[in-house]
Amino acid sequence: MSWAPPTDPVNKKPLKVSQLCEICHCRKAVIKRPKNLQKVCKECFFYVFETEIHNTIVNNNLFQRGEKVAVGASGGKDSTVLCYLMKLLNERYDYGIDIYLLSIDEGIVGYRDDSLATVMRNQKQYGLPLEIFSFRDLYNWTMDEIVAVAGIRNSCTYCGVFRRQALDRGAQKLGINHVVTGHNADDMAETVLMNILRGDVARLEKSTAIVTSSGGSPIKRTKPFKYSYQKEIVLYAHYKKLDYFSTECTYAPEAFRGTARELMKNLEAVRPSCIIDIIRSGENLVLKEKEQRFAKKPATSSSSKPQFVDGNRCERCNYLSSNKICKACMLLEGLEKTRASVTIESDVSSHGAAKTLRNLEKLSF
Amino acid sequence: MDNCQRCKKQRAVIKSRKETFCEECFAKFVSLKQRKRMMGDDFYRDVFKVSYNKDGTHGVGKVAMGFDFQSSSLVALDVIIQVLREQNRQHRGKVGFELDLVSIYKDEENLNQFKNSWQEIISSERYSGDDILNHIKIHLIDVNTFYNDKILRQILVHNIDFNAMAMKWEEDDKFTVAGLLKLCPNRNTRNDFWNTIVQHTVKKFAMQSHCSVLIWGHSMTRLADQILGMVIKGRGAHVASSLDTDNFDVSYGGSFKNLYPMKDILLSEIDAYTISQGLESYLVDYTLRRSLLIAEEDANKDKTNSMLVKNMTINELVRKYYDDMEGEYSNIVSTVLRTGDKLQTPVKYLEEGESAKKCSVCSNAIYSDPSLWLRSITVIKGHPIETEEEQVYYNQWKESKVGIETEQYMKLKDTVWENGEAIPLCYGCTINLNGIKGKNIIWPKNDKEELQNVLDEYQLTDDEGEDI
Repeated sequence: MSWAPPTDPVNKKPLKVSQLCEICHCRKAVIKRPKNLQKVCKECFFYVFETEIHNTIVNNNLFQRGEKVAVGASGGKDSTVLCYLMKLLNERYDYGIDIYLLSIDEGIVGYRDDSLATVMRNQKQYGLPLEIFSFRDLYNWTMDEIVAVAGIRNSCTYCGVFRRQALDRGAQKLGINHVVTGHNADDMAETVLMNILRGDVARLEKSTAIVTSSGGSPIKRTKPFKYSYQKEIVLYAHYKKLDYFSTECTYAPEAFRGTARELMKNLEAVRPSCIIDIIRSGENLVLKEKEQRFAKKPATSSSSKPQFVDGNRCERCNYLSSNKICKACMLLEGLEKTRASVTIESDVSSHGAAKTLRNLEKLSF
Repeated sequence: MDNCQRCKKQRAVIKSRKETFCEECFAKFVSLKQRKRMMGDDFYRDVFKVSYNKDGTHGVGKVAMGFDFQSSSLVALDVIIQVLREQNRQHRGKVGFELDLVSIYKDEENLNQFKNSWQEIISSERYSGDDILNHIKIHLIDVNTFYNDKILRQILVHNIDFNAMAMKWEEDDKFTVAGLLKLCPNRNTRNDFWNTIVQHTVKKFAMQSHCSVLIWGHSMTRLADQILGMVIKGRGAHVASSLDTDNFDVSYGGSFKNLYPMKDILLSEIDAYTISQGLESYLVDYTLRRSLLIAEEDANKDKTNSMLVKNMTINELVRKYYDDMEGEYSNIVSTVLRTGDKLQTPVKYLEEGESAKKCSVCSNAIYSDPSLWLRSITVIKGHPIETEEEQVYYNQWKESKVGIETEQYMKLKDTVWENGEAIPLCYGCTINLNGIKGKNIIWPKNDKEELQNVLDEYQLTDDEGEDI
């Protein structure tokens, strides 16, 4: 698929003072930053956006010289901007890291195959090595097949668990210990809200961590876009004319996450800075010690429960797990029970909504 | 129509938590939940119960309550009066505590509303049959007492490094709360400042009148709003201290504890209690929810909030979210409250040996420097001027109104930075000030001296019920 960047509109009307950038006061403002409501021009926007990400990387000491770093690349806006910026900042500020692109093919016909084509073009545009790992090779299932047997409501549960593990496994195979992902400030704020709303205290304290890793795992995951608004990432990709795949996954987001997302959208309309405010709050949420929390409650039989030890391994696949069997193996076990014992050769009936949508797009009257 | 699931005799009129109640059983249900919180801890039990000394005399606890004439404070008062009545009966005229109600009014009209409502309360059949109201006093306080006779300061936030400085403000004109609220860019900031001022005034009253407990009539719903609202406004670090009922309030001399006795009761339940017990006529500026009334169940289904999202405050949006979720995720309010209860103040972020600074506006503790954090995530400097055309535009901007305003701000900033002193501001207040035009407000100096300053209290005359 060929791709050509769009051209800039030409408009040479003299500018009014109210149209000027609020940082440099000498160029036309093109965006209003949600973080601080400042109207800024393209040049200042590029500068502040890139510098803020660089500051996040440096302040949190994310990279070590000589380190091999895999960028989780899906072809979407976040990961495309991440690939572009990692390469740019690595050259500009000399981090001394080796960057690889790591993609996961979940097997969603009509969606992931198109987005992977974008990743392949990115690979050529940025000159970075690319590795693709598929659910089919790792689990002998595709997401289309999973949705066909488990239903669309649970699609995110399966995809999330399998993808997280697939990224780790992929990185391990390439001998890389560090995966950077395009999780942005909006994702993080949404997670903080979700964890409060559903009372998930086990995850609450960690929900704003910029570096996550499990004990015993050699792979660490980092999020350089922790403080970057999704809107700014999209605008950056747009103004830099980056080649990205803009279609949303056709399998619906988890219902409860959908409600939190809706709330966030409303909050943003009233207070655009709320995303960064929520992250600030999230960083300051500290849980009481367990004894304090349960001091007023009568003793329960929980002491007989096996204690969680960070760094346990799954008995089946040897992947990190807090239980005897990891979540992915549990899900796979359930799926295997529903797999048809006889299949038709070259059957495409499991192809999901994405494929149907792509087919419909090709129709002409 | 079904009978009440508790007594099985009376007709059910209210449905809450999947259970149907008659009026009497529902009143008992609400009342017990409040009493449990009032007597659930040794400290509070000692304040509220009738205790006898060895010499036969008995101690009387001193309790204050923020009273805004809304459903939750009215219901809290109603249950407290029941408690006092029972004590009075069982202990032959003795009660365990005396109650001071504190109401903050914004203007004359508001004062009259409060006075009329209180007059109705004290003359009502429900409360005037005995002399139980002798143990309750109401104090109507002008919100402007917040500014009157204080050392005022102009607090200003730096446009680049987000630090704050304050300088003595010595204008001849009196500064008012209405003047402050006028400066706010939206309802949300206005609401934030209003709540800070009311809370400060009520707490100051509790401290000055030597109360050992300060009661807030916040329902479970209101507390859940507050928790999520604080998180959304960047005040997550203060959630734990705002819910703290175990420790004395150190910001106000450490002489009283804050108590939320309605914590286990939903706002819809409080409203249903208000209606079923006939307290509706005492409400001031409040719209009741009738969602739990069985007779009005169908009528309530179609009711939607007509306010535009853009005009709502953060807390109103959170409340709307809870309402929308009520059907599918019914326990969301209690889950949020439980989560809030599991939090502690983030003292671990303080350097060793360092004590938390107090915000100069809201008096909350600061555990990590917000200006430092904001600087680390926000770049304010941009791309330099490169062409002649850009230089022309820059000159135009400098001479324009916007440029002059910016220049004025810069001049003010320079003056404050030269003559003022550095002051601590929490993250939430820094963001609020940063959103105000000119990035500055007038605020009283927040120190021990200010806490001793006498509150401007409206005295009820004999005719108006001073002898209650």
